[in-house]
Amino acid sequence: MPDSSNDGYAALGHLIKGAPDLLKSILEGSPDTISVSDVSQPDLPLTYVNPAFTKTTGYASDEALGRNCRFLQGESTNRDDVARIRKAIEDQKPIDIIVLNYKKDGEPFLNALRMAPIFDKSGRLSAYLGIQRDITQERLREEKEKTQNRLETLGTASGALAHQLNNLLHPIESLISLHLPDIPDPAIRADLDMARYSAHQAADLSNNLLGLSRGEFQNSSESTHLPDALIRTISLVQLMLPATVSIQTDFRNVPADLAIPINETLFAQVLINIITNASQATKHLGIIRIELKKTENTRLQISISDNGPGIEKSDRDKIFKPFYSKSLSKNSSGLGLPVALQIINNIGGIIILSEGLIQPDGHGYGCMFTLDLPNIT
Amino acid sequence: MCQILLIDDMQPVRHAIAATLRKAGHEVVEAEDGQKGLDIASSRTFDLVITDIMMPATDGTDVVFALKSAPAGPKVVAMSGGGAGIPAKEALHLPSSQADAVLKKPFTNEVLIDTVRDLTSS
Repeated sequence: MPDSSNDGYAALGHLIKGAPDLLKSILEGSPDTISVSDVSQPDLPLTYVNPAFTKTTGYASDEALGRNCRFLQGESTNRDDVARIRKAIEDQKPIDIIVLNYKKDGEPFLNALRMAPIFDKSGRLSAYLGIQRDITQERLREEKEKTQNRLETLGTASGALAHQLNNLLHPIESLISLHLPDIPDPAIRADLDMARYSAHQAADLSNNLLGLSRGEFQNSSESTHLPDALIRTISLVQLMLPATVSIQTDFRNVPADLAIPINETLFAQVLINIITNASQATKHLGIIRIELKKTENTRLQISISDNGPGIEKSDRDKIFKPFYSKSLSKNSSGLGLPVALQIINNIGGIIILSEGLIQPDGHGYGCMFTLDLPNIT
Repeated sequence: MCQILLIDDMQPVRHAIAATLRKAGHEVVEAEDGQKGLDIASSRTFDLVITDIMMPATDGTDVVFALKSAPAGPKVVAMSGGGAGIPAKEALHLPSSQADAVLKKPFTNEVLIDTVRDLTSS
C-alpha cells in the first residue's frame, strides 16, 4: 500500500490553490498518453484519456471513454502479455509491459505501457492509471543497428576464415592444375578436373566473403560499388539459405563499376532481408532472380523476383508497415521490411512491388521487389 | 632456366608455387620467412626473388626494399593475398613502388609462369 503520509498532497493542495487548473493542464498537456479507468465498475471502463492518447491511437476521447482499453488489442497482440496485464489488475499491482496494439486505422504499434492502481489517501483503490508511449520508431532504429552490428561481426569473422581458406585452396588448385596434363587415363583426369573445379568454386566464394571483411562492412564510406557488392552479398545470403532455393543472377548488361550512395552494410542488410523473404515465400524451394540494370543516367535498379505465392495488390503497402508481417510469420520481427524501406528512402531510393516470376503451376506470379536507386557512378 | 628464391611463410602455398616453377624448368630455393630469405640471397646469386608480403618476423616489404636497394640485385616479385582486414591491393601498395612485378593471390599457374618469363627473358 503506498505511503500517502508524505507532504505531496500538501504541496499539490498548495499548487491548486495558486492555479486551480494546473493539474488538469498537466494531464492534458502530457506528451505521454495518460488514461484513467474506473475501478468502481466491473470492466474498468476508461473515464479519462488525454489528447496524447488520441494522437497516438487515433481514437477520439468520446470513442474511447466508457470502454475497457482492450479495444487497442488486435490479432497479433500476444495473449501472454494480455494475461499478464489481467493478472496485475487482479493482484492490484503495477505493471510495465511492451504490448502490440492497434490504432483506429488498423495500423499496429508497439506500446510501452505502464499501468498502476491508484490508491487514495485512505488507502482505498480509486482508479487505474495507464501511461503509454508508442515506441515503434525506437524499435525500428534498434533493429537497424542490431542487424548492422551483426553483419559487421559476420563480415569480420567470415573474412578471417576466408583468408585462411584461400591459403589452403591455392595449393589444391595449383597442384592439381600442374599435374593434370601428365595423367594419361582420361577418367582419372576427369575426376581431378572436377576436384580442381570445386577448389576453384570454393576459392571464388572465399574471395567474395573476403570482400566483406576488407573494410566494406566496417568502413564509413557512403558509397557502394556494384555489381561487386551485390555479388558479395549474394554469396553471403546463399550461406544463410537452404541449398534447395535457386538464386539466379544477371549482371551482364551493366557497366562493371556502378556506385550508389549507401554504406555497404546497410545495402547488404536490405538485400539480405528481401532475398530471405523471397526464399521464405517459396518455402525455400523456388527460384529467386536478381537483376541489375541502369535505367537512365541518374538511376539504377536492382530487382529481386521470386516464383512464390505473390502478394495481393491490397497488401502491397501494408507489408512495409511495422509489425504487419508478424501476423504472417511467428518468426518474423515484423520490422525487416520497414527498416529496409527506411534505409532505401534515406538515400533517395524507392522500393517498387510488382509481379515476379511465373509460379511453378503456371497460374500466377510471384513477387518482385525493385530497388530504384540514385546512381552516383 | 632461372635461379629463383621463393619466400613464403605458408608451407603448402610455397610448395605449390615451387612445384609449378620447377616443372617449368626453373631451379628454386625456398625460404620460410623474410630474414631467412635475405640471408640466402646474400650468400648466392639469383635471377629472381619471389616474396610473400605479409609474413611474421621480417616482412616481405623489407625484403623488397633491401634487395632493390643493392646495385645489380635480382629481379623481385612481390605477392600477397592480403591479411584479415587488409586487402591485397593495400599490402602490395608499398612494395609495388620497388618490385619489378606484383602478383595478387590467388593467381593461376599460368600467370606465375608468364610473370617469371616476362621478367627473365629480357
